[in-house]
Amino acid sequence: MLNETSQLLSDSVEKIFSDHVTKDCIISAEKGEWPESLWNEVIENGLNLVLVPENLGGVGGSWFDAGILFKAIGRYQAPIPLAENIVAGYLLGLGEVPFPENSIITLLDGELQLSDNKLSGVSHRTPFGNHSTHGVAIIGDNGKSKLVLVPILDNSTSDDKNIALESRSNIEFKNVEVLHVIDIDFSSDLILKI
Amino acid sequence: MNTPFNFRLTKFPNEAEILRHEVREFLSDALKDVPKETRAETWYGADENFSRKVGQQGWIGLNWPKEHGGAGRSSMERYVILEEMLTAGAPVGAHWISDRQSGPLIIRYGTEKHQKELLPGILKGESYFCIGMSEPDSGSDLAALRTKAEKKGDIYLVNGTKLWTSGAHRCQYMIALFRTSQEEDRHGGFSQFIVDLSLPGVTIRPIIDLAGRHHFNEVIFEDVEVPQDMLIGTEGNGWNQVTAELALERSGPERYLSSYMLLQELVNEFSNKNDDEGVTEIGRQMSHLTTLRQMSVSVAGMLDQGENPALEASVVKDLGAVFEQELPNIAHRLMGLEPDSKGTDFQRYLAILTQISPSFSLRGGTREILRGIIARGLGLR
Repeated sequence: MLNETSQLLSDSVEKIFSDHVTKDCIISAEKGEWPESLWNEVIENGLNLVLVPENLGGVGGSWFDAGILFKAIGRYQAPIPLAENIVAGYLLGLGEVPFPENSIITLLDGELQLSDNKLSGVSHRTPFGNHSTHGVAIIGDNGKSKLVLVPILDNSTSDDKNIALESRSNIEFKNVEVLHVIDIDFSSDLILKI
Repeated sequence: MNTPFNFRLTKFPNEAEILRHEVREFLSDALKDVPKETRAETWYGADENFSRKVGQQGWIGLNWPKEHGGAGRSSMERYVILEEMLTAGAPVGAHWISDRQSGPLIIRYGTEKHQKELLPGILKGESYFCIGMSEPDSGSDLAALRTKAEKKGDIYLVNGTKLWTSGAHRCQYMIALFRTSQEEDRHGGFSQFIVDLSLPGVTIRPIIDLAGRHHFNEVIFEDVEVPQDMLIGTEGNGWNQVTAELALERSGPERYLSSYMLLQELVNEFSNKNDDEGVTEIGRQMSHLTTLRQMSVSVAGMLDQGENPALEASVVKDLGAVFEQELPNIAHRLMGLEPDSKGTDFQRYLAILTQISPSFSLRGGTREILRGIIARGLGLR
C-alpha cells in the first residue's frame, strides 16, 4: 500500500506522462525541441520538488517517492531532466537553499574549479544542459566538498546527443559567479537521511 | 537423468585446425581496412567485395557436395570458418544466408535447373538470397501468414507483403513461403518459391530500425507472376521444408558471438587493471562462452552425422542470445562509461551493441518460440 503522498505522486506522474509523453513529443525532443507543455505540467504539480523539504516550499517526500518518479521517467522515456532536477533539489535542500523559481537545473560533471566564488572549467556531456538555466556541481574531495549552484550563461553550451538521442551538452564556465556555496560532508551518511 | 538433449563432446578434426590458420591469414589481409564499427556489427555488416573474396577462396559452400560445386568438406570445417570470421568481425552479411541455408535448401529440394542456374552465383559470393517468412500479421506465428500464390496457367500470381525481411535490399532472390491453398491443418497449404526480386510488381521498402540502420525491409508483391518452375520442393510441403531449414539457422557460432568484439575489448581494458571484480566477471563470461561453444560445436557434429539437431539448436540459440544480450550490460557496469558512437573503441562497441542487442532474441526465432520448442522436446507441451 502506498501512503497518501506516494499515491498522489504516482497518480499525477502517470496522468501527466500518459497525456504528454506521446510519440510525437519524443520525436520532436530527439530533434532538439524542448517539450514545453510537458515540463510546465511537471512543474505545476511540483514533481521536481519531491525531495525538497516542506519548510523550503517542497513536497518533503522520501527517496521511495522519488523512485516512483524515476521509474516512470524510464518507462515513458520522458525527454526532460526531471531526475536531475529532483536530485538538484535534494542537494540544495541539504544547505537549506530553496529551489530557485522558474529554473531548470542540471547536474554538472567535469574538471571544474572554484576560486573566489567563481566557477571555471567544462562540464562534459551534461544532461539537457542547453535547456537548463542553472547547474549544481560538487567540487572537491570527500570530507571537504562544496556544493555550488551556478547560472548557465547564454552561448556557453555546445550541443550533442547520447545514443538514445537525449540532449547532452558541454558547458564552459569562465569565472562565472556562483549563486550559493554549501559546505557538505559527503563522507557522512547524510545522503541516506531522507 | 535421461534428457532428450544430445550434446556430445565433439572435437575439431585436424584439417579444421589447419583451415583455421588459413582463414586467419586471409582475414588479417582482407579486413585491414574495415573500420571497427563495421566489425562490431559482424554479420549485420555486408560487403560484396569481401563476399567475392571469400567465394574465390572456395569457402562458400564448403560443406556442400562436390557435384553441386561445393568442397565436400565437413560441417566442422565450415564451423571453423564462421567462428574465425565472426570473432574477427568480418562483414559476412551479403553471402551469409545463401551459404548457410538457401544453397543447402536448393541442393536438397531444388530441381536440376535451380541448381545449375543458382548455385554457381552463390559459390562465387555474387548471388544473395533473403528469407521471406514474417508478414505484417504473422511473425512468430508463421502459420498465420497470408501472402497468396495462386496457380494461373504456367505462373503463380503472388499478392501480399513480407515484413522484417533482413537484407532484401541487397539480394537478387528471396526464398519465400507463400500460401498456395487453404487446408484444415493450419500447417498445410504452404509452398516455398524462389522469387527473382527484379520481377515486375515487387517493391522493396526500407525499414529503418531504432538505431538508425537499414537492415530490415518490407517487400510488397502486387500481381507478381512467378514462373511455375520456381516453386521449390513439393507444393503444399512448405511447412516441413521451412522447419528443416530453421535448424540450420539456429545453432551456429553466430548465435553466441555477436557481442564477442566487446568482450575482447573488455579483456584489453582489464589486462592492465588491478581489478578483482572485473577479472572475476570476465572469467565468468569466458566460461559461459566456452560452454556455449562446445554445445554449438556438438550440434555441428550432429549435422555431420546426418542427425536432426533441431532441439539442441534451439537450446544453443536461446542460451546464446541470453549471453550476447547480457554482455553489453556487464561491460557497461564494469567500465562505468557512456556508450558513445564518437568515443573510445570500447565506447563505440558498447554503443553499437547496446543498440542492436535487443534484436538478438528476436532474429531467427524469438525466445518464446525457442522455449516452446524446448518445452515440447521435454514432453511438457
